[in-house]
Amino acid sequence: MRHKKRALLLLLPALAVYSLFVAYPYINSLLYSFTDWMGVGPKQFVGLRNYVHLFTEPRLARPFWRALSHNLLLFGVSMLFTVGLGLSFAFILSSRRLKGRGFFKWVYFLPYILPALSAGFIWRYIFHPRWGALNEALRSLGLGDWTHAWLGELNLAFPTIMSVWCLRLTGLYILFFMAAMLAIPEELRDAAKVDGCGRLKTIWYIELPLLRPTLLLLTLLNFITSFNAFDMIYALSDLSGAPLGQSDVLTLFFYRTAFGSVHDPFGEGLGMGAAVASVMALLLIGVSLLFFKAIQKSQVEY
Amino acid sequence: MARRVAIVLLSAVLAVGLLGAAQQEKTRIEVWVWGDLTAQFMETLEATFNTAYPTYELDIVGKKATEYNTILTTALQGGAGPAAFLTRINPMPAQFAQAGLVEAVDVLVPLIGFYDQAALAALSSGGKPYAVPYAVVAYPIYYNVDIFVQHGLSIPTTWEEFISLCQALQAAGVAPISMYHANWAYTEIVHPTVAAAFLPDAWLEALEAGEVTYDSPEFVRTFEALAQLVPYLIDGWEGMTYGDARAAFAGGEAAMIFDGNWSVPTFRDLNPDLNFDVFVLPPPADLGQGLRMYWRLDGGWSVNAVLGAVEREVAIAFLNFVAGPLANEILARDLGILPVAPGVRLALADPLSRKISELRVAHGVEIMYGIGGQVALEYGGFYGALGTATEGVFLGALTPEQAAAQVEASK
Repeated sequence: MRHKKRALLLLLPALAVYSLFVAYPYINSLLYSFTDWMGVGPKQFVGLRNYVHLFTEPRLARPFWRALSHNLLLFGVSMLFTVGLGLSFAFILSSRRLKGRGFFKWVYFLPYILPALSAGFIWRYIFHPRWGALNEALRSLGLGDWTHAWLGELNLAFPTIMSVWCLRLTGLYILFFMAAMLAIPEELRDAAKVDGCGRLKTIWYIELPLLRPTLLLLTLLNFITSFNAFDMIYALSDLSGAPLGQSDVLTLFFYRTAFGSVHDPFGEGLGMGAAVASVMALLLIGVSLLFFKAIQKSQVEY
Repeated sequence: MARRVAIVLLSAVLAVGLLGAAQQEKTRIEVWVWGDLTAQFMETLEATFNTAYPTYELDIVGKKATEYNTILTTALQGGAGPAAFLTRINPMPAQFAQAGLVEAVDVLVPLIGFYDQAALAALSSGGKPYAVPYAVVAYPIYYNVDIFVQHGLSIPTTWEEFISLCQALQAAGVAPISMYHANWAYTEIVHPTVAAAFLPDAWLEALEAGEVTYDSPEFVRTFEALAQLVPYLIDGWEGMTYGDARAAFAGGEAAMIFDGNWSVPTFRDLNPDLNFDVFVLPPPADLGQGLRMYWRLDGGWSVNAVLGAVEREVAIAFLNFVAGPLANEILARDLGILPVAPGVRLALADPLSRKISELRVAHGVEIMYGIGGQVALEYGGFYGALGTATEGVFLGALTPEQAAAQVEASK
């Protein structure tokens, strides 16, 4: 009993900070979602009206579903590339025979060091249709026909953004996988070798199953990151998710709904914005809980 | 005794010193405006105010123009807003007034009675003005004089001539129009500039009376005109920001650009050797109406309602300063604004700003869907829809009819 009290006492400061900076804003935001409030002036309680409008009014529902589909696409593509490439590079870089491993690790991790917003603006200049390095390089190689307005054309904008997104995250995932591989006891690999397993068989039957918890954790992280994507996409696109909403994601939709734009000073208001944020939070919490259960089940002890 | 005298003397010296310091200490206030460049071009205004009021210190701070509304609203709501600031026109001042975030300016600024009533209406709530009108903005077509002279081209007098001009430029290997891919600028600049040339007066009156809708043939025609421009837009415009397009025009990469009067000092700054001028986008010949240039009021100066007495005093002094002719003449010269303050002469202003001002007086039309108008108050999503519809037409994703229908549906 005394231990329990002491534990609670020790948890109190962290709980206070958490309540103030996490729980309180969440609850407050949820309460705002039941109001008609422009962000200034009085709040009017409207019950579930904001949620009903969000899913039934075409001017809100259409961009909401479109943004959600882009988030899902971003998640799917980044899973394929960041996890796929991250895992492959981690296997290659963990090879003891490879010289300069430290250098490669550093090079792959480099894009992640820059803040996403700065990286986004740098990429924006690289993709500039008239003065950008990419089109300049293509022109100098005699491939002028391949030049594009990478971030402005309907079919190219979001794939371009996704490629930058994946490139940035791959280095981080390589490090995660390498760290997980280091934790696998060498004896297991040696035992496999004694049993006649080659490198590929060892990876398939020994290392990959043992990396499952890391893989699940990174999938969850990828899901959360893909759904919270804002800064880099904002830098590469704009608040409207140009061109024509082709690069729109939920965070941009939330921002426009809650805070408006140049000529629409208050958007749909903070009440509706809070409803969008609450739906996003619900989605993320639900998926995260499922993943946590899966991660717990797949725990490995050596 | 000697020690006592020394202490008294020292205390006296300290007291005098502190008093002097207190007298020299200035009351500093922050004034927020949209855009870093705007703040930069307001340096003389700031210095003039600080000289005129030696005990006050003004600090004009520029905030990112595209996120200005959010930054300002959040700051005011959180009690951390500036003492005075530029506000957009309605619905912003009306919302701020209803929330008690700004003070009515009619009693604070005696000069307000001399301002144009229409300008005050766009900044009022419940019949009271909540900002001192700042400026009007007008939207000409900028052109590169050297390119025109080099190719023997002249100012078009009809839309058809304008299109022929674009064809001639393109045939000569010159990009006719520098364009940006910016939803806000389509709403703010491009569509209204074309609409001013294409929408007949009778239709505008019918729109005001609620007798016509945005999917009517007259409004569809504005999108048809925009679609006609697409072949003449600079290569790669789809990936260019507003700033990129201005730099391309200033660098002589294109012959013309759709822009607001505020860009005169920017173009001079970007390229001091640029030889440029302006004209009004002409209407189609069959419309039978004269030149018409779109203009609108561009916000006003407001005072934060939650201020200490001393700060409030400085903010009110600032508001009276910007309501007067001197401040507006400085702004017209440095920032290229078209003042609305009474009694302002544009003698100091850039000759091109003066020309735009004269064109506005001669050909100006304030279209009713102009920002701050009744439509803005009634339909919040209208401007976003107008920008998206224009974007869709430019990208070839929407037909003019679909674009017009989309704008109508946004109501």
